[in-house]
Amino acid sequence: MQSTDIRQPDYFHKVVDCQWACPAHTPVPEYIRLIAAGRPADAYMVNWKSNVFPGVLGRTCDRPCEPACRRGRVEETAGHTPEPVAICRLKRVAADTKGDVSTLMPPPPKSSATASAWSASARVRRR
Amino acid sequence: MVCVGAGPASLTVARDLAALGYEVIVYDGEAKAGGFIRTQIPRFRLPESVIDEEVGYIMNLGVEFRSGQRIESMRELLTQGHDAIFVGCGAPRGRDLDIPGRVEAAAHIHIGIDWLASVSFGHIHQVGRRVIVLGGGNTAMDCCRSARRMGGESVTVVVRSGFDEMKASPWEKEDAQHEGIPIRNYLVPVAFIHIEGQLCAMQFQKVRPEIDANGRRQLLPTGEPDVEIDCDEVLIAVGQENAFPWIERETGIEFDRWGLPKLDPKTHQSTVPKVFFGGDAAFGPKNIIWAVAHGHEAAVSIDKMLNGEDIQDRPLPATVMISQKMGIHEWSYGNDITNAARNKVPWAPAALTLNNIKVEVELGFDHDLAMKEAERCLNCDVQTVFTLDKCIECDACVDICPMDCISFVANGEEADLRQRLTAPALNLTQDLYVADGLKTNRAMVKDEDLCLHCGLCAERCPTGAWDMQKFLLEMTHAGPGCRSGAGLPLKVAA
Ligand SMILES: Cc1cc2nc3c(=O)[nH]c(=O)nc-3n(C[C@H](O)[C@H](O)[C@H](O)COP(=O)(O)OP(=O)(O)OC[C@H]3O[C@@H](n4cnc5c(N)ncnc54)[C@H](O)[C@@H]3O)c2cc1C
Ligand code: SF4
Ligand code: SF4
Ligand code: SF4
Repeated sequence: MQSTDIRQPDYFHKVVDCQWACPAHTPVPEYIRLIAAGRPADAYMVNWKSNVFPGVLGRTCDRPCEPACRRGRVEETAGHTPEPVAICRLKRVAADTKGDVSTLMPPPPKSSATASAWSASARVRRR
Repeated sequence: MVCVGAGPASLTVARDLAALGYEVIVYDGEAKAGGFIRTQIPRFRLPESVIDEEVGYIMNLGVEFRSGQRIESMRELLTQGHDAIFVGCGAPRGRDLDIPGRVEAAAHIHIGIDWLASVSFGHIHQVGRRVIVLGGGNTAMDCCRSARRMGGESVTVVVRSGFDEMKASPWEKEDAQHEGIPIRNYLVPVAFIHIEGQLCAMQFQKVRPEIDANGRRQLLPTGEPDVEIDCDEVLIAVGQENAFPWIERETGIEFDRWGLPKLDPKTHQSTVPKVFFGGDAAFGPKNIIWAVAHGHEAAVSIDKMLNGEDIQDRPLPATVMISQKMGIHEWSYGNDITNAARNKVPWAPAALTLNNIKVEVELGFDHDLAMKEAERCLNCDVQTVFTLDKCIECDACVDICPMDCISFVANGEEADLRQRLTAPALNLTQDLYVADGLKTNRAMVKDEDLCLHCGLCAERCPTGAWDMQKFLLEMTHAGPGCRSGAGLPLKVAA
């Protein structure tokens, strides 16, 4: 086989089973860590950017990510009943406990310049 | 630009483009925005306040919502000089069942999605004592659980196919059964039985599955006598169809033989270049998250088109890699693996939820449960990154890996190589990470399939040939990033 080109975005994307399976490619482990770190508002915004309706989806999503979740595969291999991480309901936790996120939302744009500034700053905040 | 319909697909387009300064007008025949999220999904699964809040964030970006205004003519809309039109009108028509008695007993028989909308709008407050719900999808599950809350003492779901073939998600079926609603399978509706229009039962034929010569599953009559189930009311939830009565042929928008618009699957562009489709209106009924994904893609197309770019030239996602190394055996992510089983979401007491259709059933995880559940995540985005020229082939990583992911072997074709790995994977959907050209002429081959992302390989490696790096990938949405041509380059931060 050829040596793997890990700079191809798809290569590592596929390893993140849940994100690969999500039609909007939500960065799932990123928001789960933010919840665990006590930062639900940031977890909410990671979702908001990708899937627009975190509170709605955290209750109703069809969850194509969960059957794909690595946790299920690992538990099955270990002889347990495979149970994926509750990705969807953790999204709801971010939505329910985020508090006021209005200041994190992009401002109604007066010009396209403000909006681009928002998306740039939103990227930086995330790291 | 204009969006037709205010469902999740249109609202995603509106959010992505309004935030960039586009003037977006959204039309919907209904009074409030949200589409099926608002009119179909019952309140016991989704409180209206959540919809109001999240629709509000989008409207606050300066989106103009023209409520109660159904678009009746695409031809006319096209003459209004908009730069782009996004059609997100959903799949609004519920399938009917044309069997004897349907017409005579019509007053007690309803199309599921129309009935759910009437319940949601508060036009209907009660249902007969004995209710049959026909169909095995999520709509059927919402119908039966709603009926249960509106006076249906005996609610039965009847499905043609087997339990496992039902379209409803496993958890929807479980939730319905949990509420005491039996699901009866392999019964095909034959007739509505009524006395002068007063519905009293339904007749079903018993069938069994059989694989035919072409390998297709068929349902064949078992030959047993038909089954009768008593009922006062029936809800038909046997599927949804697309309908575009308002899009005239002469607009040039072409449809295929299934009545769906002819679209470029990537760009969502129709046969009229400035008209795009997404959500259930594009490729038939799916779900909310697909509607959102379509919305993002269509917004990229519209943004590129209005900037004079080739909309076929799609942006790559933006990716960043950041090493998680903090100390010798210390990582900036939690790399302990918990053995805990999945945590269950607590429910409100049935006495409360079954008596009021507006009481949300699930309470959501509390803080402690949320923390426990979050810990179960394996951090699959913290990647094992291998640096070939640092490796001294000491095999320490091979020995320590709890899942036998790593092998040092002679290279070969994939099928052959897979068999020679320490623990060949059963699941072939995950790739092999190959680094060829070690000093001994072997290759490092890591099977991604069962890696726990525990970082033990990187902790054990004496030379730092393995590193754990967080891989953050974000889709490039509409905006300058999608216009730069090739997308954002991958940055590797040490
Ligand atoms: C009972 C039921 C339960 C469901 N539950 C779930 C669930 O739990 N999770 C999930 O992911 N999905 C669920 N779905 C599916 C989901 O609702 C849809 O896939 C999704 O809403 C589709 O979004 P959309 O943007 O394509 O359009 P829709 O949400 O269908 O919205 C279309 C909107 O367009 C408007 N409209 C139509 N024609 C015109 C016109 N000519 N002019 C102006 N406005 C117009 C309509 O009034 C409507 O508001 C469910 C569906 C049903 C029927
Ligand atoms: S364990 Fe599941 S939820 Fe966590 S990153 Fe892996 S696939 Fe996603
Ligand atoms: S991270 Fe853990 S499971 Fe994955 S290869 Fe390294 S040691 Fe093995
Ligand atoms: S532990 Fe490090 S040096 Fe040793 S074989 Fe593994 S990668 Fe190579």
